Amino acid sequence: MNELTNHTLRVQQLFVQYQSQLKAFALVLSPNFVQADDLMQETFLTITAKAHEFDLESNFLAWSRTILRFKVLEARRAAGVKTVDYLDSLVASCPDQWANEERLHKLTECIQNLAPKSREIILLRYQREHSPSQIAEMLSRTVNSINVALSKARLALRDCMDRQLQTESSQ
Amino acid sequence: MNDPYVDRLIQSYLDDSLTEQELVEFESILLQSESVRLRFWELAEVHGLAPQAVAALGLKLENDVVTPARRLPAPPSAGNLWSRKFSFMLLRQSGLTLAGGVLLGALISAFAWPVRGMPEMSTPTSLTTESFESGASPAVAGMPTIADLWSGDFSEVVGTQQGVVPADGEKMLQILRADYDGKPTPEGSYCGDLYRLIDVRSLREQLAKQGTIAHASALFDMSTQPAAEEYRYSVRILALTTDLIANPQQFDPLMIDEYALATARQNVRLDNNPQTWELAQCELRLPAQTDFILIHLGVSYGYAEDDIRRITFPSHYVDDIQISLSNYAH
Repeated sequence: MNELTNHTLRVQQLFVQYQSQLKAFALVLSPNFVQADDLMQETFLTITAKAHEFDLESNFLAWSRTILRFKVLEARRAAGVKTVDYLDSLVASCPDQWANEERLHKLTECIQNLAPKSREIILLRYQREHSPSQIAEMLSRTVNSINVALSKARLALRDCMDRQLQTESSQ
Repeated sequence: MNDPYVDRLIQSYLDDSLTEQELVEFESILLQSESVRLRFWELAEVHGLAPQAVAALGLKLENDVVTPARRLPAPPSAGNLWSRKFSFMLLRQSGLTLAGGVLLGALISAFAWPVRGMPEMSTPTSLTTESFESGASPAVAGMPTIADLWSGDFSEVVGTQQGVVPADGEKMLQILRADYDGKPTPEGSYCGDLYRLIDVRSLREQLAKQGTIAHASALFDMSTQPAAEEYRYSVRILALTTDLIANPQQFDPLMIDEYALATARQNVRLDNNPQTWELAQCELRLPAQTDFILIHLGVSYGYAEDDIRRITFPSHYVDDIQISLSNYAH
């Protein structure tokens, strides 16, 4: 019994270790921030319940992503979304290092260096969790201009992360 | 070479702004093309990580007059009847008005503010709201050591039952028992608990420089019970350090009050009317050393007869939990 409990605790520690990556994964596959939180909660419950099935020598990230994918499918089916065929192949193509701690750290630095107007839109979207249409209303701009600004800001941040990581690896 | 049209579809997907027709096309492209799938993960990475990155930075918006998209704590209305009008709105009032007179009075008596003026409370930033609409159940594992997850005693997400209608949406949480899976000493348990641990280490600088207040509120209700039965409900906030959480002797429901940096609690008797939800709420000024806050919601039998303790709850519900932070700018 103790051995099983210790094993479950170890699996839960792995969940904590990969929590940032899993959170990012959940958000990308969810239509909104609230559902992403719920997916994380459901995934943690399932991971705890199925901990005994997990071999500590195997790939925790792949296993937990699979569980999260099932939760996404369940949520979409419950919401009446029929077409989810692409999800398997999309999840399978997610790189192992995607959204890892190092990249999160770099993104944090890059957001600090973002131009003030772009940073404001990023904060409204990701700190205040507003949709582009809500941001457009607040800033008295068109939805299209906010969509464009968000896309540009995300691309700039992505480039910044890559540049910083390349600079580090070349040093 | 990236296709600008595909990039636009991906970006629109991330903002949930694809039309139905575009969505069908997007899913079809994703299904067919590995290169598009890889491009998707490239573009989606910032979107996925950004909430964590901005939370770590603790950046503030300039001229911030906007409420968070997740709902703000609503002031209790007369008779504790609960308004369902929430969601996105622009706030033109000052933060002070938002806070309400009761909170302001309590804070003025609690802290010695500088003579140069009344502190003004910022718009609360929502940390989490929960009305169980997704059906996601809390873990049945007692006090959690993992942040951002609900955990506690046996409970179940349910719809309307026993005359109790969810306060918000179509679902609510039924507290079933005062113990959980594998509780070391379940004997004597009498409080049905629900917890959430929230990491505020990214706000350390803010906590040190400003008065940061954590707010927690929740609605409680029960079906009609025999007149002799009395139940109480509570909301508690505890400010904790990382060391405390790492120490199992201290991070224990019976000991945690002894070691917490600060605590606040409201404990109220539940009325016997299933048609009214009772609001419990409390605020806590977070000490500068706070690493985590622990939110604790509880339901317990009220000891009308001293020798009776209850480990099960016949029909007790929680809904519409809201947790937020605000600052006092001088």
